Amino acid sequence: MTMPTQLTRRAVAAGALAAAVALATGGASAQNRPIEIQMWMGLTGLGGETLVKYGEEFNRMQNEYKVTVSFKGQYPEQRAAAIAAFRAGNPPHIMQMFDAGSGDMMGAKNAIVPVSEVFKRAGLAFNPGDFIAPARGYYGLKDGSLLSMPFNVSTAVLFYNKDAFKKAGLDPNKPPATWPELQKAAQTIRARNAANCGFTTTWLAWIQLEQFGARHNLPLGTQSNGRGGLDSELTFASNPAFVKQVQMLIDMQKDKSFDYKGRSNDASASFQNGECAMITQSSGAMGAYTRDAKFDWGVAPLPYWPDVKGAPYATTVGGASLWVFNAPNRTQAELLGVAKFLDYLRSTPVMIDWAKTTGFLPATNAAFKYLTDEGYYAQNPRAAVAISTLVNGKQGEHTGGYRYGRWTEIRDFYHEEVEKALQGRQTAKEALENAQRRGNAALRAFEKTAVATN
Amino acid sequence: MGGQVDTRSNWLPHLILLIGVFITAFPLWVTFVASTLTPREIAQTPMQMWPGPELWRNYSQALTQGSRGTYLSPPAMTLLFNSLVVALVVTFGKIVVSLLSAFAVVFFKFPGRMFCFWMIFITLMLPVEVRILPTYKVVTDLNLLNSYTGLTLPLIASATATLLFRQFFLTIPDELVEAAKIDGAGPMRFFKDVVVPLSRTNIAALFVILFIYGWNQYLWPLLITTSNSLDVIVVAIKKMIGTGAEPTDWHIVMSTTMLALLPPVLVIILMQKSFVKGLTDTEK
Amino acid sequence: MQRRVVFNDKLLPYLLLAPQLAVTLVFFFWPAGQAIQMSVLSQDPFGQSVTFVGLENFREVLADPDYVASFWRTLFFSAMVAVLALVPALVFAVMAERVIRGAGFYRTILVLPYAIAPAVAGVLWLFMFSPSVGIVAYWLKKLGVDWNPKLDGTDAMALVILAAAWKQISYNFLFFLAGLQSIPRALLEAASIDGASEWKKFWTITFPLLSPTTFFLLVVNIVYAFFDTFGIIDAVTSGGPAKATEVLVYKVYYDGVHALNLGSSSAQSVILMAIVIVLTAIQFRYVERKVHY
Repeated sequence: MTMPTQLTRRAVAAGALAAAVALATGGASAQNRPIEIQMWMGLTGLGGETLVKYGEEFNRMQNEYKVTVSFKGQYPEQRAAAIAAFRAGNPPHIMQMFDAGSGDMMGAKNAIVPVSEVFKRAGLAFNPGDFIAPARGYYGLKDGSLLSMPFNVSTAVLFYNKDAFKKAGLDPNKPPATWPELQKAAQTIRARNAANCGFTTTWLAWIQLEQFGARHNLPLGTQSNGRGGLDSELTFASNPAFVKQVQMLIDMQKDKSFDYKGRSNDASASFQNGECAMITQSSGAMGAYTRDAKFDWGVAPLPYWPDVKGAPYATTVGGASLWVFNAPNRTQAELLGVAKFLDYLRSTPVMIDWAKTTGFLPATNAAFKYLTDEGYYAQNPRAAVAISTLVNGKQGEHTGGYRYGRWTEIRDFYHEEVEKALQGRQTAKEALENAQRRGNAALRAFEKTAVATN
Repeated sequence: MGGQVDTRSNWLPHLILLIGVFITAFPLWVTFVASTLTPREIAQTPMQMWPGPELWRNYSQALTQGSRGTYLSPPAMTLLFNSLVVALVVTFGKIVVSLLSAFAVVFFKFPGRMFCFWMIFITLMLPVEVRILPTYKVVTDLNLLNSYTGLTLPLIASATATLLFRQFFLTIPDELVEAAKIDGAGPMRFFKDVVVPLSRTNIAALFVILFIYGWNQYLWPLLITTSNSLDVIVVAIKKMIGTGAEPTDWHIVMSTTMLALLPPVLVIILMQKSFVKGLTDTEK
Repeated sequence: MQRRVVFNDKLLPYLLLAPQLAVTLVFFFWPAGQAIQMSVLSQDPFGQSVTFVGLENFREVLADPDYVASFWRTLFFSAMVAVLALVPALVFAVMAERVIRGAGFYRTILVLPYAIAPAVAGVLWLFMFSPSVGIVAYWLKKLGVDWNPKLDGTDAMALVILAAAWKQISYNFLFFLAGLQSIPRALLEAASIDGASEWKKFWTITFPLLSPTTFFLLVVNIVYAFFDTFGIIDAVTSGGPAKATEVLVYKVYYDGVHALNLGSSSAQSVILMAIVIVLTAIQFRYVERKVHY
């Protein structure tokens, strides 16, 4: 059964409503005003402020289009709002969507216009090869074209408090490279009372599951992590390395050498205020720590288990990309404006400014090359860590990321089950098995409803 | 109240009531104190229990700039304005709409009267909490997301207020209606000159209850606004806390919280009589 | 039900009713119908593929261990909130009846939480109990309690129960006070003459005579805990950790708005509507009686 058209019902309801109250809604638009381009973003703080600034700069450069960049809530809320707006026929032109939401977006065949297609229809040159390889792989199709435009690219790294290291008698210039080393350092920090908690993590699933998988070249599921087809099954629970990692967190939680501080970015504050001496975190937090942390800190690549064959591999791309929405009422002129603004955002000066201001990674090869040549990374070794683990790390079959629908929900399954394990209500193995079982159920439901693009 | 109270029981009630006052007031006191401290003083454990010198600075930052942390909140001035619009439109809207419909149900005889009455009555059984998604969908279909209309209109229908007015109207003496008819006054004239003035205390009582109801709306605005310039203050406070790229600006959150709870608290204190009447009447 | 003398007008009553009926139809009946319709459909978030699945969504919801767990959790939460909001309120009301000096002050302070939005009440308690900055969390740590509502489900549940009960005490207090004031003085005085202790008077006279009020408040408190605590839970725990505070209403919201699982969320809405209808029926059956009494 398919739904009858929304329009008739909407018209009926609108009539009923008009009868209820005669409330005038403004919005008469003059003819020669610039064309409005709406962009929704999910960034706050420094990143958000900077992105808004780019919108304003673009508006000053030309007067055909007026771009409005607005914050609509964190990524999940923003996505829900954008989907509602899409169903109402009026989505934003451009939406910034975080990595985990990519699978859902790709499943929505008619809802989006692939970004390669946007540039093509606008008649602007666009070469996906301009973007750094890991991002290209993550957001691209097999034919090399891009579905969304990588923008704020990040990866997972380890931040550590050098002052706390010194206080604990550890070498502040020798951060732990492996998980066993990290565990030992954290225990020393606790034993010498150099901080209230040795180590914490933000983005539990993203770092301890997704990035962890890439770092050890271990698959999360079949069909090349879901990139090969919607019928992919999650398999991580049967892999002892994932179990060992959760077990390590459980063991460390007991003596506070690891302290769980909540989902998403909740733990960030406890590194920033000195409570936790180490944190695995998105490299995008660099800007905030540079500005606000009142102690000496360093950055190290994401730790790995030396006993996993071939490790360490590269980490994978995180952050967000820009998606272009499709809607029945969109004009060619609007599309052209969208393409021009995206073109501006990916231009080398903007990319360089973005990377320097926020600590996100440059998304294009040209910007990366410029920053390298300029000596930026030589002068800012802390900023060099993330990009080099991402780009120069060893690539493997499973370092290129995953593509799953309903992944935000599946991440929460992982969070919930691991939280239960940290509370001592189940074992590490049970936690991963439950997360996997629930995740697979969600994937099967997604498979049923999704219309795949590839 | 009992005139002779023996000495033994005299201190005990006071003690217990003081405990009650402590339980009630302590969270408010902590909030107020935190709203007068610097972020650093707040982060100090244990936080001091006496106000600091930052009252002016925190409140003016909250009012004119808002939180810069996890959520780019508009200044509290905007938030207060939005809350005020929602509270007042919902309050007056509900009162007017309910007065009219109760008047129709009580003072007229017409086919379908009971049917209409029951249709209104049954809405008591459909709080927004149980129809979150479909109502959201309806508002989306009507293109009312992110508008004051969408924020207020769906909240205007109220079975409670209609029932209250209906009950009160039933007590208006028939003689008054007859007198009006003899004078040749039409129903609307009667409504304006007799019904509304007689309902004054009921309206005041409802005003208090409905103002608090409107001001404290949470789930509805949370659902239907995605533009933060339309956020109401209660929703904005929640968004300022927790998940995001930066630590929570507790000093701003706490001063915004004080600003958010002040208007309804003042209404209760200043209109205590109406409040008690409103509360007990609407629940009958 | 009907007045003896009425106005005669064919059109006017309908016009007067129109605004209320229009809003009711558009925002109550239409969504309720949509909930029922969506509950038998399976669709992707973008609404591009929609299939009729009959009662499949209901079957899935009721077979889902998470849903069943959420149901029992909701009952536990409601019972705890009701008890913690009713008992202190009754004690305070009985005490407030006995004092003369300061009565106005006590009453004013005790009713304040009624004015505070549930979400704001949640924020107040969240702040006091925040492991990093909260003053109460600090005391708890001093006492050797390992307080961590971000990780420990019991801690999180305790926190939302306390915040929810704190807010509801005001309401219960006022109703108990009104109930106490309607107890005939003569009865209590007669008991005093017979030499009954305060304690005995309370259990043999006051409490039984208050029972209609108590029962009424019990229903109101359960309805409150079921539906009006959404803001508290969203602000304090967002249903976590590990769903430890996810009550039914929160689950409808999360599954629908965040997980975008439209079919399941709608089926849950329909189930909740059935629950509300039962609760309202109980409430009104009782209220009818109270009106006659």
